[in-house]
Amino acid sequence: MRKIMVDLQLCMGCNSCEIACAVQHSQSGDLFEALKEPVLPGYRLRVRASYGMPFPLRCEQCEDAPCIDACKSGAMARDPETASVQIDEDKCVGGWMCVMVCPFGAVFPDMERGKAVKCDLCRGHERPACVDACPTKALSYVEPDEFAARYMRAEAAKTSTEAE
Amino acid sequence: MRYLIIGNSAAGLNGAEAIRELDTDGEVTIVSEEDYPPYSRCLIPYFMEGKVSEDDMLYRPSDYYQAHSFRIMLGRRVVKVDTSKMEAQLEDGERLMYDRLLLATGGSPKIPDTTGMDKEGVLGFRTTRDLHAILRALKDTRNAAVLGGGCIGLMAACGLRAKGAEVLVVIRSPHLLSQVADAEAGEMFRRRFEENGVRVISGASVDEVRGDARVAQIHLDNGEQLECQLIVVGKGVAPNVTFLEGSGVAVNRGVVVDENLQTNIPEIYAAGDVAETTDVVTGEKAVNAIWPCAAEQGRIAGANMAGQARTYVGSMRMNSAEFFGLPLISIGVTKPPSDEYQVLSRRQETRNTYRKVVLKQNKIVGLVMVGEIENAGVYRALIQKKADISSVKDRLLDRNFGYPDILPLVAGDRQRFSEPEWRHSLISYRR
Ligand SMILES: Cc1cc2nc3c(=O)[nH]c(=O)nc-3n(C[C@H](O)[C@H](O)[C@H](O)COP(=O)(O)OP(=O)(O)OC[C@H]3O[C@@H](n4cnc5c(N)ncnc54)[C@H](O)[C@@H]3O)c2cc1C
Ligand code: SF4
Repeated sequence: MRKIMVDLQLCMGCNSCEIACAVQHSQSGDLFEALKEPVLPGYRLRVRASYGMPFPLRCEQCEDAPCIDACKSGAMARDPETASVQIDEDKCVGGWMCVMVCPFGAVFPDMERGKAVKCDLCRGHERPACVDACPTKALSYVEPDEFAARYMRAEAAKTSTEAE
Repeated sequence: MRYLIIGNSAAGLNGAEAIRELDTDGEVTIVSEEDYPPYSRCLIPYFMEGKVSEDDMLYRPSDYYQAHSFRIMLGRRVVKVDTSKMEAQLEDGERLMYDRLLLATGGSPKIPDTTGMDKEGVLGFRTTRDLHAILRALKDTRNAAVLGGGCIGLMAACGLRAKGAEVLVVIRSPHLLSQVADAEAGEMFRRRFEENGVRVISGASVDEVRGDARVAQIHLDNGEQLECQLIVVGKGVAPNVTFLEGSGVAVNRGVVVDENLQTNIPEIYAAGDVAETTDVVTGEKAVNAIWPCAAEQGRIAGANMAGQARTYVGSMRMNSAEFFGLPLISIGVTKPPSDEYQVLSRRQETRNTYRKVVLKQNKIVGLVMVGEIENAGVYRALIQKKADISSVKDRLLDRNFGYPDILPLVAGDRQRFSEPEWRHSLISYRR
């Protein structure tokens, strides 16, 4: 399945992806309007620091997703069409079973609303908003294997030009 | 192939779904003593607190059985299993033949045999039946007593309080949540309960329930006598195994299963609160009676029953709960039994948070988080993977400790972290 893949070498930690994510998931879909909304939309992707390097943290859409088993209300499920892991917000009771088991810490508890939020790959849109927003193309929406092959090729090209 | 599943809950339903994924033609029958659509009993407290409607308690949609071509038999109890004839017998005498059988009968509340516990108004907190009995009893209840200070007892206490009852919690241990957390966390929750009008009596147990047909008072072994018209018992659950007597299926603390969730009888599997599995943290046999384990075990048992060999890595003791707005997550060993363990902990009074990480030989074996619970799963992954955390030890109590902190650790131990997700997240990682 296609996922959001990151080229950590290109990420400069500008947070554009985070903002695009929040806007996409706001009620109005507009940055300035979104800021006025009574409940700020939760970011489903968060740019965190890893030993001084930016790391855009997001759901890995695990093949054997522990959050699906853990969810006691049946709100977390695999979308049969895209194979992505999705939360049905209406069913979510904020029991935080998913928060307890997500190995990446990529399901975020929205304590105010009592709902868990995570990357939904911008369901219903052609591409996740963060991917479009990234100025350095650090993010892409691809099959992981394809991303790996492309990354390796690019790295190889880099070393060969360096060698010249 | 005829598959028979006893139990219509986390383990049974996930088992049935796993079977259906692999075997589209097999005959799948689900039998359940409870006469109720596929609901999650974990939502009973949310219903009492008015957070969800009865419809929202459904774990799967109501057209679910039909959509998966499951034959469903609700309100029917299995009383006997004949392993030589490969059939299960129902209370009304009907016999159901099987080629593969999944035991997913869960557990029932343990009610102490104290004098008077058989009176009207003494209830468990397990099923929708219990829920409705409690709601009925609440109509003429002013004072309710909860016996037991574990997650179930405390959820009941919150529910009863939300319904306007005066609530008393009686616990034998010195602090609340003694099985799932530690004294520090227990004290934080005691304060939270007391602030919300719930009285907690610790270090005492009920030695007599008094009243005529219905309970009227409880008498404690510390001499106190208290009025109450309703008692909710939250003192643990015992696996539902009586129907297995004489069947030859091996039962210890629960039904004994191997790593494929198969019992000693090859055609029979068990999963969920009824099954005794290996705890990954302690390495000991245990019944870890929680929803995530039941669902996962059901899924793996189902796959094995349908012919796809799958192994279960083991269960883990873990809990996530929220009482009067204060969240708790606890995993593994929370009260180290010896000085082989090392404890890192930090309490922040101003934020009302607490975090404790229990280590053994530089591996995390336990976690308690109160107030702030983000990233709990990252600790859990380290526990499950038994990873050496020496390189991040000084970060474990950081408020934002999370996946980015363990990137070098994971990258340096790719064999241990071999699942595709870990690999994918590290493709472009350079140290
Ligand atoms: C109030 C409450 C809150 C909870 N909250 C949480 C929580 O927040 N997190 C968590 O992880 N866990 C929680 N739990 C525990 C969780 O509900 C259980 O671990 C889970 O339900 C176990 O699922 P199971 O399928 O093994 O068994 P059960 O859910 O117990 O289901 C057993 C099934 O078997 C059927 N059955 C039993 N005996 C027979 C028989 N002889 N013949 C026919 N059918 C039979 C029953 O009708 C039922 O359908 C909670 C439990 C309760 C009661
Ligand atoms: S938008 Fe791109 S460069 Fe900016 S933080 Fe996100 S991933 Fe990194």
